[in-house]
Amino acid sequence: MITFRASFRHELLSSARSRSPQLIIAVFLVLTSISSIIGWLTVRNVTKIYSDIVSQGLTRAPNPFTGTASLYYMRDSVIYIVLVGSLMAIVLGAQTSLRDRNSSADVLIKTRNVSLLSRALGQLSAIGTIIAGLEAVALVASILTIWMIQKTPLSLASFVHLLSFGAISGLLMLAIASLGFAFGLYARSEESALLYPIVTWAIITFTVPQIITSTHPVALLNPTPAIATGTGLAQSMVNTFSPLMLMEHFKYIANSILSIDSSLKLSTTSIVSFAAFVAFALTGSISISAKAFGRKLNV
Amino acid sequence: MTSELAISAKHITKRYDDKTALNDLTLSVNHGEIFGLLGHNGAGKTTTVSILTTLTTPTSGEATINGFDIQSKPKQVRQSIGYLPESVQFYEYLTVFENLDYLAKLSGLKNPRNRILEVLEFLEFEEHLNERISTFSKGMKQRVGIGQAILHSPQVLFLDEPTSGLDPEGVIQLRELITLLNHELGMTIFMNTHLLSEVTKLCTQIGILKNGTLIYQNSLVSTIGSFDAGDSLEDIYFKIDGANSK
Repeated sequence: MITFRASFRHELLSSARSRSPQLIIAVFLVLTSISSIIGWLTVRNVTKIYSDIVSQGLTRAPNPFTGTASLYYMRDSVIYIVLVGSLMAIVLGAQTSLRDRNSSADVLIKTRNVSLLSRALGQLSAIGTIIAGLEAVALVASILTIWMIQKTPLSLASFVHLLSFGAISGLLMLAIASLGFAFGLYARSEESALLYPIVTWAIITFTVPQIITSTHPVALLNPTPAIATGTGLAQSMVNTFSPLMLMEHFKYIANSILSIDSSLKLSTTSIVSFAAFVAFALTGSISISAKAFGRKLNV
Repeated sequence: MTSELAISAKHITKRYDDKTALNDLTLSVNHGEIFGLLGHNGAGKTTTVSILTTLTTPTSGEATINGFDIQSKPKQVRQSIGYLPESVQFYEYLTVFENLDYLAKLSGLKNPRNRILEVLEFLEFEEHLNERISTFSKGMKQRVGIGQAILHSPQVLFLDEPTSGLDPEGVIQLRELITLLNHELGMTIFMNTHLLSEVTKLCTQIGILKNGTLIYQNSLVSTIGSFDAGDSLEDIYFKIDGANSK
């Protein structure tokens, strides 16, 4: 327990003092905090254009935003988590293990009776705490801005949905951070410790969905997920590779929680794939940490 | 547990793929000695220390520290030893206290503040307690390095090229500190070096390692006594080294 506590505290202190992740943390915080304002501006602009068209008698169609959920304003947060949140998590995770290797503290630790498992758990718990803290700040900002925009506080149901979205986002970022942590332990150089997880993230986020859904890469920057379709051989490819479209599964889950697009139905595949990824990333990185700890870094 | 020997290694061999880093190394160090392991770069000095400090396992052979076998009782070995690697950087954005506090807790010390202050006082370094390591010279870092190595009061201290990269003043200060650790705290010290001057001024026993093989071990006094009266340790080293090249 002393190892867990010491590592947890040490990691929080180190992350607070270390300069490199701070910029990306700031970008993440600003974007997620103002996402509901951006969402509100979008709704306001579209509604204004809609009103102009209606007044000119060009349409009788109902306002597309009539009856949208109050959490709809949060839709941009989904993509900020997928893009900025994931990169921030990679940097946080990789920096944690690189710190030990750069400082040669790994050698000092290996000559002590330290449970590497407890230590890895302490480190990852600290990263989880940092991510949870950032999520909490972003959610509080969102609650306040939605309150101001709607001139009424969030309902209890919406509040619970918002918390669930925060929890799912936090889990995704923690899983990605643990991948960064594992690559930071294993990679031969500091550059590759960051490059490998970023390439893995890019494959999961862009390459796999593009192959499966034939979606234009830019369209993958939408908060709504791309839909996998196909017949015959294409369908078997979809079935084989669709569990790897982790970010699209995350979008499905987030869509369902935030009620962004009611036409999209959440599937069991999305839930299972997402849960399996989180479990695999966390257990994998912890087990790697005991084996790979102390590998020399090429300077 | 007390043992007659502080360090005992028998027929240690270490191979990395097709390269033999250590070949049938046998050596012993008594309690209270300062043992200097000499050798060229790549002779196997760091591999020897890595095996004795449980950082790596030997391909064959056995070794004990304070009577504890390095392979079957690694936990007890780690409790008995302190280690200062050749180049230690620490967490540079943390202060001396924060670095030592973390390492002390990982050594199992629950409330290490008093012990840290005691160690820093011994090292005459207490005024730097709350300074960040990033502002320190190599010599100051080595002092903190010694500090972390003795936090848990080990009986045997391993130093890998401790004076490497230090300026002359830093070398003198570290030499005094090593002597103090040996005389006042009674620590057995095992140091790797390729500097003959260090051995002459510090060590009571020497060993010479060449291409992974220990070619010589004796006390410093006997070593100097068994060669020509005018020979410096440098001359002696090259005579032993040369004799083993033929």
